Amino acid sequence: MKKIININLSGRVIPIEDSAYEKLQAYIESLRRYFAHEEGRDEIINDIESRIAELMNEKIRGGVHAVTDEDVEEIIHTMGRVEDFEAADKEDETAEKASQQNTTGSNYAYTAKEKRRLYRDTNDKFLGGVCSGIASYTNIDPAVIRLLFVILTLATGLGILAYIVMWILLPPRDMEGYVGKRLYRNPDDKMIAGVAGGLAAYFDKNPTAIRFIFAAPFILNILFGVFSWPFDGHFLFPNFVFGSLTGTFILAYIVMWIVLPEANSEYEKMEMRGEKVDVNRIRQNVKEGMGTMKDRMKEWGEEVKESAQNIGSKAKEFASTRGQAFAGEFKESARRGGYGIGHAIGVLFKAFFMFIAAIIAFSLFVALIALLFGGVAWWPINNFLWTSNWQQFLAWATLVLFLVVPLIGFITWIIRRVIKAKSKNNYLGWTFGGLWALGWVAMILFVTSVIGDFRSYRDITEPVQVNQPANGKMIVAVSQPELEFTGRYGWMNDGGDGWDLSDDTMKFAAAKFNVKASADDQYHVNIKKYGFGKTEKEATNRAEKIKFDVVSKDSVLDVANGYAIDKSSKFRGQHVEVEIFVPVGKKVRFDQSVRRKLNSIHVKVKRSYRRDRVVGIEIDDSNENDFYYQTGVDYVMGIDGYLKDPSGTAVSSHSDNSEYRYNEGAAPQPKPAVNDSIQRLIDEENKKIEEAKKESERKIRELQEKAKQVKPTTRITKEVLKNNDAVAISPSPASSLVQWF
Amino acid sequence: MNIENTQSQMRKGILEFCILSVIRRGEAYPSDIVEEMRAANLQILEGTLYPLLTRLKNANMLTYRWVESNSGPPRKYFSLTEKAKRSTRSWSKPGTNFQTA
Repeated sequence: MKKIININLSGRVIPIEDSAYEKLQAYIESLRRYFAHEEGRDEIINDIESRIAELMNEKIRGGVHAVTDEDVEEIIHTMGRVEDFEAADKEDETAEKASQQNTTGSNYAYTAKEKRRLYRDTNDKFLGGVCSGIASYTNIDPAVIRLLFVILTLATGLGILAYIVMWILLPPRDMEGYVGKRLYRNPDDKMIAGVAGGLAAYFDKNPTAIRFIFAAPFILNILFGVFSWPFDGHFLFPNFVFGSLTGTFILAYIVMWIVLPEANSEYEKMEMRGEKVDVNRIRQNVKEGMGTMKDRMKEWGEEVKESAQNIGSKAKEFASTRGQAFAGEFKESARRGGYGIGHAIGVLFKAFFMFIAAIIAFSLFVALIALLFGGVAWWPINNFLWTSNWQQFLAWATLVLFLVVPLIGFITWIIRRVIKAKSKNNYLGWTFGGLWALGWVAMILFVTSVIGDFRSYRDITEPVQVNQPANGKMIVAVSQPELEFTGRYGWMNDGGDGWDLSDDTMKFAAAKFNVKASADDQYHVNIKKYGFGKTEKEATNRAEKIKFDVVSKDSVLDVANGYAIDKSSKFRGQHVEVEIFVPVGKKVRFDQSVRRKLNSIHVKVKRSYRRDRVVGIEIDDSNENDFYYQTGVDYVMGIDGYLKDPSGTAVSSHSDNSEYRYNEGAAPQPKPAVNDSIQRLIDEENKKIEEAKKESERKIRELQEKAKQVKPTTRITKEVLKNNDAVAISPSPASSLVQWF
Repeated sequence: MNIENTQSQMRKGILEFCILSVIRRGEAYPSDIVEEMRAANLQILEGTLYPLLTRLKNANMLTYRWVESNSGPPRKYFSLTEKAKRSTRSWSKPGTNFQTA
């Protein structure tokens, strides 16, 4: 059954079979290319078209009702194929070039210069002709360049970016294209799709060797996987699919399968082997050679099916012939078994490729999420974020539906634009739109759910047993080493200082200090723990679960290097405060280790008039709410309840005293009466910050200069100091986490 | 000048010479030219003939006129221009048998 269409050729209407028409069209197209640089090209083509019309007319008059494939073949034969012209023409060309070189030097220089420029090749393109342009510039097979781009894209995403940039930047041009050996898939020598065969032909290597290179890591991985499986308890599958080498090779194979055209015609096969490459100007354009991306994908799907069946039947054949060779009474059963095996392999192969396709899709999906999150590295935090499964579900639904879906929709839209795919019904748009609407719902529910967790705000106070200092001075210090990320998750080790995370504990190096006057002549210390919750009970519960130790020893109040939140209580803005009650006239001193090892986290809670109902929370670690006391200064508790430094200036935790940093370093540092181990630690810490200090002192001096100039306006001074501090102290990571919600 | 260059120039020249020789004997239709050249054992494809004709026409050696045809679209019949006639006159001097080609 063949479709017959009417075409208008040189003013004559000619009935022609559909397939014959395509042949004719391809032929005329090849002529058009061949004569592209000829003067009077259109005239030549017109003449040839008229002649073809005449020949066809004769056929029709001869009694056939439509021009057939054979007729077109015959006509093309009499007119001559481009390849046939080529042999003579090639000589002409070289001659012309030679004469050009000899006679007109300037002309030559011009053409040479022209040739060295990079263009996009409009004659041979997948998307924009960038790769083939590069190919003809460097004289490397376009297929190889395309492969590199695809690999770059898959590996880093850089390829597509570079491609788009070049697509925009490079001027398009009808080019001669690449001359030389081409990389094809070899249909005559194939196991799966002929990729290895094609590679072998291209590099002049033994196909078996190439196949072995492809297969070796895969097989080795399976072997290792099988042998190690019982021992380390790891699941076998991810091992060989994700095993980096195997994955790369399988991916490379599939990519090449998709990208490389199959060498179907004799001509292409010769190109593949690098024979007679002078006949290069008939290139496959998008329709003929590669087909559109869509068609290729479809073709590919069919090919996969075919090769799966192929392998199956080969195995069957193999099994049955071997089975006969073994002969004997097992013959029949062996054959049956062979058939079974062949069938099973076929099915397995299909399943395997489905699996690979699924893996690719899945990894793309994961990559998207990873991009959104700035790395899957945040994974363990997942343990601390969601107070219920429902909330976690909502979080993921929000992520996927609200953020990923539009992204995928956008990518799809771009791809469809690029391949100019048009669908009659707009189901894609509806699907994405619907999913996104769901995403909105999920997001709103999610936000409400999280806000609900902050409805109540409670604190609990725990008194600390205080060992009254003998000489009337309490020293606050942190003797534990600075909290650093323990690196339990290797890929997270740039998490830095100030916090730590493991599967079941989250630690923040943060605490607020508040010094008040003691009601009696004793030092008292309280730990206040704060927590948020849906209900008061939950908030209290959360506060109680905070682990934070403060120990009094001799005259030292040893504060832990951070507070810990356990997995069950989740992270909902918990924070701690150390209240120190100093008797009037007695001294308190903050060791530098406090500044060094503890960041301050400040939570402002706005409550409504209704009891205990939180209406607004503000968590920040900006300078104003930072550690208010200078380190290494002996403060004396004044009679008015404010601490006074040796110069007599009052300091309070809520004052706006912005001057305190000026005196740092310049302030007197009497030798503290601390026990040796702590003193040693302190000295070490001092040494560590010495260098950082020098730098900040230099800045402080600069800023002081500025500050003096603007002294009358304290507001500006504060601003300047704030900047200074931003340099000197890194912001608390805890707060950046909080902002994460 | 290398040999290949010479050969190709010669080949081109010979082809053009033959075409002109055929047309000199009277108006000719391209497929007839091919037939005649084939008869003289000179293999040429129609596809290669057309560009040569166009080239010669552009070089003012050939002219053509349209002739209605009952077997298809109008045909282009080529004939020599005055210029070509002048330059080909010398070819027919005794001693050259080429014109029979």
